[in-house]
Amino acid sequence: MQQTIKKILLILGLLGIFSGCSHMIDAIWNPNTASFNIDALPAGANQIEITFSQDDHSNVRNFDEITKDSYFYGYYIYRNSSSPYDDYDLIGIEGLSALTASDSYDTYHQSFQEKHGLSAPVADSDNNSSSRSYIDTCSTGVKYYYRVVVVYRKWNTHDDVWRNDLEDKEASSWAAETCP
Amino acid sequence: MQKKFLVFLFLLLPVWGMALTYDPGDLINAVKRSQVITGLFMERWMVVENSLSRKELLEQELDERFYYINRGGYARNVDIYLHGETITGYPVNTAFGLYELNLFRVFGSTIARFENILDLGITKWGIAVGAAGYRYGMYKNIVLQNNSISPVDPNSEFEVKDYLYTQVFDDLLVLTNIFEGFGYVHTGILLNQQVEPGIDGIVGTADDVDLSSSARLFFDTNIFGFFFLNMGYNSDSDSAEFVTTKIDVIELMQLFGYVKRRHIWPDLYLGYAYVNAEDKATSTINDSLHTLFMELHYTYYNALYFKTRIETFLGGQTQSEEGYSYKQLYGEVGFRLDTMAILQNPQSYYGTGKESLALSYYIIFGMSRLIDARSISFGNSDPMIAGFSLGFKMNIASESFGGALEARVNRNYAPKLYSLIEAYDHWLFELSLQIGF
Repeated sequence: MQQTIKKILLILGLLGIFSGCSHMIDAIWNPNTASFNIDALPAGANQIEITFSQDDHSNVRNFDEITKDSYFYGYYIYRNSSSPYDDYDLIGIEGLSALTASDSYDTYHQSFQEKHGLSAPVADSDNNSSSRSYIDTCSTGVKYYYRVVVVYRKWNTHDDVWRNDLEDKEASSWAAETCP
Repeated sequence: MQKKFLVFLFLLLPVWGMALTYDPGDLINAVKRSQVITGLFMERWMVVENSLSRKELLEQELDERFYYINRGGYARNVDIYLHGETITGYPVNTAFGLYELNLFRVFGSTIARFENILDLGITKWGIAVGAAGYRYGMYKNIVLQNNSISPVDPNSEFEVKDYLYTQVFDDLLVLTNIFEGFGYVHTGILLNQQVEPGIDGIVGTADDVDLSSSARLFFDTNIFGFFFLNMGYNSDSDSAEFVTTKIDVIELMQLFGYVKRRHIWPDLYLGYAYVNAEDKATSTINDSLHTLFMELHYTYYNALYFKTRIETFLGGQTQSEEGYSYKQLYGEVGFRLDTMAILQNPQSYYGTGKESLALSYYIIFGMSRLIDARSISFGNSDPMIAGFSLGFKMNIASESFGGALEARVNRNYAPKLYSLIEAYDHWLFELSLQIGF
């Protein structure tokens, strides 16, 4: 009888696990869907400010953390001026690690050292702030569409060095703004 | 809310949807989807039902053994199944112009069976739990191109998917009572949810619009192995939305002692099906249909299989369908490169040791005809649709686990169009994976 009760409890547990099956299937079938929102707002003449929360996108490699295949590297910002569903081009990045020849795996992992293409409105290299924002220079009257990707860089666990491969961990939905 | 929904429907209207009558298709029809998900679940249950252990298989004669192997991979206690279908390049008018989207539907199920829990004397009682999910929707793949701004991997590119228009999440939870020697009773609940993801293309954010959420009851039974009844019941409208009942003719003959060797005979079903696909959420089609059908499935060792379904109208056809006596017919054959060698002398072929029961494969070819006046709304000139399917299937069975893999490409193939009329005149790709223990 005890065996029977155990089996029935197992069955009820399984039912609990199986519920919401369609959402699990979605995660398997559509792994790279947009997963967070960003904002684009006018920021003065010929400038648009792109902002988003970094709460869930700051999985930085700790000082002695060398066991994973990839670690958070930074944010890549993309833009086009035709439609949210057309291809986008990279216009700026903010990366955590200094990727110089003298770089070692425990250097610069706590602050954004690589900035290209865009300027940040706040002099803030600390990745502990809750949101990030960037200023894009634009042409007056043109409507721009933006997306942001949370980028990880592959790590060679055998030699404890960065690899030259990137990985898109999460991508944003789009935000649009007409250039003031 | 109603206005919002109408606007949404018009946005969904694809380019070919310039017909006089507008048909939103089957993707957003909860009744049709419910019929499909329960049908697929029952297909999986039949695999579990027909599955024998390796030991039980080896006790059978060679030709009899293949009868069971051909009816599914090894899934004695647990069956896990994933089936995905996609149509690429599906033209849709969006708020930003015409785009080619990907239309997809993915089915997944898990069944766990526990036999002989209680000995009741005249029967042994067992139980099974099952869950199935069906995910329908459309998305746009967007390329994010890297360049020299990136100090690392500048020539790479990323991709992101935006969901567009109705996204469907259907779930089925089933509890099965098994009475050994008498049959089984499935009772379940079907949860249908349709969500409009909003402008951000993400499901689960504040701008989502819950278009409809409903629950339906599912009931299926098999009495003495030969009588099947499958029913979907809507408690809101207090009516059965679909009913399928069929008789397994050979099983019935077996019950009376007419069938001694099962493998000689095909599986033969005669049945009646009713569906009223008027979904209250969409309120656009009144698609009440009554049909009679015959299904036949014959296998010969693992050299060849033949499958067919003939379905005739009993009532409910539209005016333009009245000239046709049948609703659907299809035939499908599965063969392998050495089929002829097996056919000529199976005992000798399997005696050489070059063939193992552990692995079998089929190349699949099927042809079909379907009569459906709704195809006219999707660009067809008359209700008749001819189609085909081409694929490959592989089964593995071992001592304690089994698996199957199947890939197909379909064009207007009746079993696909029957439940997804918007697939008319598009290539539909499908992939299935099964693991059993």
